[in-house]
Amino acid sequence: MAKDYVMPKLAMAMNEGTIVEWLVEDGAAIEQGQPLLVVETEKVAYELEAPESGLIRILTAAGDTVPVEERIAVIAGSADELPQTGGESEAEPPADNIGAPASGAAVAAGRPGPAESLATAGGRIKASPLARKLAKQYGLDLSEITGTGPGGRIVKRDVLGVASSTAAPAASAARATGGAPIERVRLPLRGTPRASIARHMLESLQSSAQLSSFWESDITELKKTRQSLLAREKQLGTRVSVNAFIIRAMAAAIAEVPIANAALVGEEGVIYESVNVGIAIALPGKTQWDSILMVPVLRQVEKMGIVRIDQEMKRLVSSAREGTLTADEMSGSTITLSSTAGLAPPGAALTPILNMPNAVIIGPSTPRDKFVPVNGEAELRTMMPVSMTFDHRVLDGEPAARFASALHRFLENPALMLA
Amino acid sequence: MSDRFDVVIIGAGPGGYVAAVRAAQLGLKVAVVEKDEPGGICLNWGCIPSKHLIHQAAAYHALGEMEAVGVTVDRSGLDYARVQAGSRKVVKTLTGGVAGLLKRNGVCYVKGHARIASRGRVAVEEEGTTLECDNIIVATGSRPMQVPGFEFDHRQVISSDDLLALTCLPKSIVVLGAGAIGCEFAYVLNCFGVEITLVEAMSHILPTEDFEACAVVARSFKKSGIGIRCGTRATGLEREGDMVRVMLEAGDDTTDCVTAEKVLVVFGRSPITDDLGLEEAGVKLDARGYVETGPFNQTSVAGIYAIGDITKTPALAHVASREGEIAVEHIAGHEPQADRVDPDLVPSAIYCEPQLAGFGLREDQAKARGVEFTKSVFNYIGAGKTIAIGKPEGLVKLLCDPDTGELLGCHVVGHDATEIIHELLLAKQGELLAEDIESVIHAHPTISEAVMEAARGIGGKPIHA
Repeated sequence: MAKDYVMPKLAMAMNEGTIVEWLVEDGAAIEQGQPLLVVETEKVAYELEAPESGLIRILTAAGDTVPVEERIAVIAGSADELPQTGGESEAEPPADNIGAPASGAAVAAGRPGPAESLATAGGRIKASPLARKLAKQYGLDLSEITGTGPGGRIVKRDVLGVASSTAAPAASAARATGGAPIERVRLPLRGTPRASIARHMLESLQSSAQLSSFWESDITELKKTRQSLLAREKQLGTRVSVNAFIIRAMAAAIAEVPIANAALVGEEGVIYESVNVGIAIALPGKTQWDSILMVPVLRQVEKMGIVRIDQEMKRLVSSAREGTLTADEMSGSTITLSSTAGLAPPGAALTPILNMPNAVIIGPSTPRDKFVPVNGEAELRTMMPVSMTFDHRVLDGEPAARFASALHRFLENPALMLA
Repeated sequence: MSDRFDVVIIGAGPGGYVAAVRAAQLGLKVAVVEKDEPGGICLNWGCIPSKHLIHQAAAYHALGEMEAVGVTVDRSGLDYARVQAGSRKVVKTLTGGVAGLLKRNGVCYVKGHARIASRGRVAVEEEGTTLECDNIIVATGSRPMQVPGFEFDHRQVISSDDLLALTCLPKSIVVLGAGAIGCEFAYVLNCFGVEITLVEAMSHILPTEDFEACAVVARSFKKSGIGIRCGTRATGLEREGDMVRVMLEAGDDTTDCVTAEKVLVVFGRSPITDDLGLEEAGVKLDARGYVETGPFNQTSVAGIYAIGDITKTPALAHVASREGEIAVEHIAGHEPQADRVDPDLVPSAIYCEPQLAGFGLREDQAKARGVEFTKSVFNYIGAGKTIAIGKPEGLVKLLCDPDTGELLGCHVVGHDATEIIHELLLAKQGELLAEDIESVIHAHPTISEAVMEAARGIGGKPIHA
């Protein structure tokens, strides 16, 4: 029996994957466990293995981005099954259309739809190496580009022509009116990490009811406590960071207001026992356009002490920088931390966008020293701005405010969170 | 000659004769008018005789290598008149070859000075005839540039044509202009023992080439005793009997002078567009006399084309030839691969030793235009062959697009660079990437291994660096 092979969901947030490379030829015999293809999601590449042995018919060419669960190949038990696997199963062609069963061309004659992908994967497209690379960068399918080079070869100008005609009409119209701004550079969206970031951000804002609030927490004591931990850096094995305190405080606040650690999944609200904190990390690219936003997940923070949190967080951050995060390490968050401390101006308030499906995101920013009244006296204290966005579909203002107050209390009284 | 021609070509240089042959191949009825010998400057007074001289000079110079293995070399018998005669013989062989080529292809060859009488009419003065035609291709080439204050007297103040006709060598010479022509002659004359001073107004010799590649040539020149004065302008001449004094002014306004038997003035070349009836026919020229051309080398007048040194593309024989083919294919109603020569795909080739060849973007251009690039330089000395044959001076320099690995500019300097460049040029035109060049197994030992290593340097690390 032939079996469909679909784009697997490799991470909770994964909606589509790009086939970087097929490691087997179309029509080849494959062994279970043999490396089959490389799939890329938001800059993490996975090598996938054949789930079973058989003959493979590749339906989606390398370079294409397809939604999760979409069929990308068929694995058949025998050669006889191969040509049939190319078509839609509900539309069996007349027997005489099959002709020579092993010939891809015969299949193409019978079924135009999927045959096009067959030609892409199995047939040879004449294209220069530069054209291939550019097509990949622009996310264009070579089989849809007409070549004008020697012998009909697809060359650079052909790819750039298609790339500009698919992306440029709005700009050229503006140019005609004479009011268009001068462009520095034009960058493709398709096939880049930015495409995925753009989609996630928009989806988040369009599919949930987001509400933000802002406050300042006095972290003078937190800093003192941290100093005492830094003095014991050798003994602890890490320079405990402010972020570790914030994560610990989040876990402590969740213990008081569990609904902050929740999600709306389909028709059900889920309140999680595990406190899995997604930590937003920005990785620089060559330009700001191709910078990458990653959210590795620190799992079961509720069971961890502050030192362990710090160590685990640093391990995740360095894995993210090295590009070695696994799918598990990038999925399953229940609440998010997105800090702009040190980047944003002191006292900055933001409206962080929810990392779906999490119901809460906490966005601390750069602290500043301020004179504040303490027991009727002006005292210089370190005040950290904290922004919080929550999904009003999941929790109301009242529990959200209670959660914010709890978090504030723990941040201001670090002894409590360590208790 | 009352028959009507499909195309009349004025000038039988590397632009004109190639256009004529191609036109005949495409079934056009074609005439070419030439007032001198077929082959143009290139064959008669340029590339070809100079290459013969360079070859002789290199052979003479290489005699010295034998002394290292105990062979006593007596160089006293050098008869430059015979060197010169040899070069004229080579010229004769090749111009004869071109004449035969034109004849075999049924091209009507008319000797005389042509002038465009009107659209579709070319008058040949000596013949007193007028050729009727549908199309005209002007391919009259260029002549040494005359600069006020440095006028040629063809005796002490000489042009490259004069130098190629010398039958005895001067003891000393000042070369004004360190472009390709100046550097090639400086090399030749130095090999034959002439004392050379090379003067260049720009900051480095071969100012239209990549500075890093030029530095290799400059180093070698200095080592072999050529005096180089860059960033220095010649301000005037004074004749003193058999000697000429050249007044110089450096960038910091300091002045001095240099005296020599002869002054070779090679500031550049000027297009030959006067006395052809071009402007009368309505063909647009720019202020310096170059013909303005559009797609397929058409001028502002329909049916009149211009190719080669009279247009603003690089003044190189191989550019003229290709432009001739493009014009003719357009006339014949064929679709040429491109409607003009892509300057990024034109190789420059300079034949002194070390040779220099390159195409595309130079590093200074890339920086000036804000083009991002990845650079790889591999020194010749890392390829074992260069040490074995005693030619370790040189480098292969690649500039690539950092995202795609596309070759943006390639510059090779060193022994055989003018041959080696073509692997890179083929890669550029075929849109192969640095990684493709790297993956080609190169024979060992060859200088071409340096190309592979330089390509490796783009994405990773060369082995022999």
